[in-house]
Amino acid sequence: MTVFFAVLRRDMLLAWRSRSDLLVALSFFVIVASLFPFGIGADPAQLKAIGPGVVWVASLLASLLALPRLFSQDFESGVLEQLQLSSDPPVVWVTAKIAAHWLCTSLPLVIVAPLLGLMYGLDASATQVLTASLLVGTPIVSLIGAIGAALTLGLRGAGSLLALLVFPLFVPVLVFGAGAADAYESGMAIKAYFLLLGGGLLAALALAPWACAAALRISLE
Amino acid sequence: MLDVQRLACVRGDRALFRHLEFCLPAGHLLRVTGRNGSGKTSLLRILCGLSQPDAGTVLWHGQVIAEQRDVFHGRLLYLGHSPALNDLLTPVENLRFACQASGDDFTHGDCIDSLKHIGLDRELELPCKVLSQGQRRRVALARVFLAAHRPLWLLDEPFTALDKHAIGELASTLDAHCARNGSVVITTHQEVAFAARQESLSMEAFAA
Repeated sequence: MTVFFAVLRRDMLLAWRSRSDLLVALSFFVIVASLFPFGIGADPAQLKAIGPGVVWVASLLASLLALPRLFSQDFESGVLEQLQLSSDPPVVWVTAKIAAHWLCTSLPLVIVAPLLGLMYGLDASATQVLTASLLVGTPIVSLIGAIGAALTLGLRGAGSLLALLVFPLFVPVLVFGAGAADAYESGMAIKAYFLLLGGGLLAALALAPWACAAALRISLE
Repeated sequence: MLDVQRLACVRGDRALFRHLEFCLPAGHLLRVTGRNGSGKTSLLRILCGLSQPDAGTVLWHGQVIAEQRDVFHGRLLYLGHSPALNDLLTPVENLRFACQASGDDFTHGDCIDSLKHIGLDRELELPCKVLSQGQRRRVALARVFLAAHRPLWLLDEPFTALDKHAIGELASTLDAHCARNGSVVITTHQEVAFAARQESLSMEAFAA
């Protein structure tokens, strides 16, 4: 476990030292979500209806902003090679990198999300449901996104290719994530949405690090 | 210890080398020479298991390295072309992370000692982005002082960008490693005198 915590600590320290990058992603999230009312008008009922979806899509876009950097810096500097030669299996440090990425880029979005819920006129409990769905859903986004980041590592135009690759995979997360808050608003049961999101998270946790490690091995050859 | 059999490497549609064979016993230093682009770095990456050869096998103590990955990586120190440093971390943080990443846990103090040993003294608290090429190189090379327990060292152009004093210091460290029955493979263009039993491998002899 030395490797896991070493990578986690280092990546979080690096995120702190380059915290302006994180602020950019966070501001991007807030700005994208605030643009919609200007585009479609300030009808409270309409805003309330689209609120959860807009916040979810904005969070996907904001997490995509930081994804290409997940491995590229360490790839260029040769750190990934050294990690590949660790006597621990690659899955260990890949999981640590994804965890650090989620803690530093997605968790702040989840924390800010209630403010945006307020802006869209969601009531307190609907905002709670939205935040909870983001809390369970964004780790799936980080895990799936990491596979895309590993596959496009070192390619020309990696950023846009990454978006094409992973956005279709985010659709189920978006459907159930935004759907939970919508269902709550219309008075339906939300348990099923969270069970599906939770199941998705467990499946992604079990599979994505392995897929990611395999993709990195190919990219490093 | 390290036994290489009929190795071949193809990059793109160009064959770099073929039928490459050597055996490196404990306590020996192998010096790989060859012009630019002759496949020295590719050979080293195959030896440490980062790349797969297109033909042939690499054996460590008689067993294929891919079949004993975890054990082999625990016995290996590989320092590649790039120094594997992060610009935002200090030399001590970088060195300590490099050790932890490979599975060793050395203290902050151990890392400072080995950085001082290789001649970095006043730069310990600066971020690596302000260091010169030679200083960055030294930070990466400081790992050799913390790798005595790893018998096999594979170093890609370790003498590049170093001054005379540092070259002498590094050469004597490599000698000391061979003296305690370790083995060293280096690629280099420079003439450096070693006391250890030395073997040479010219890539031209195996060019395809």
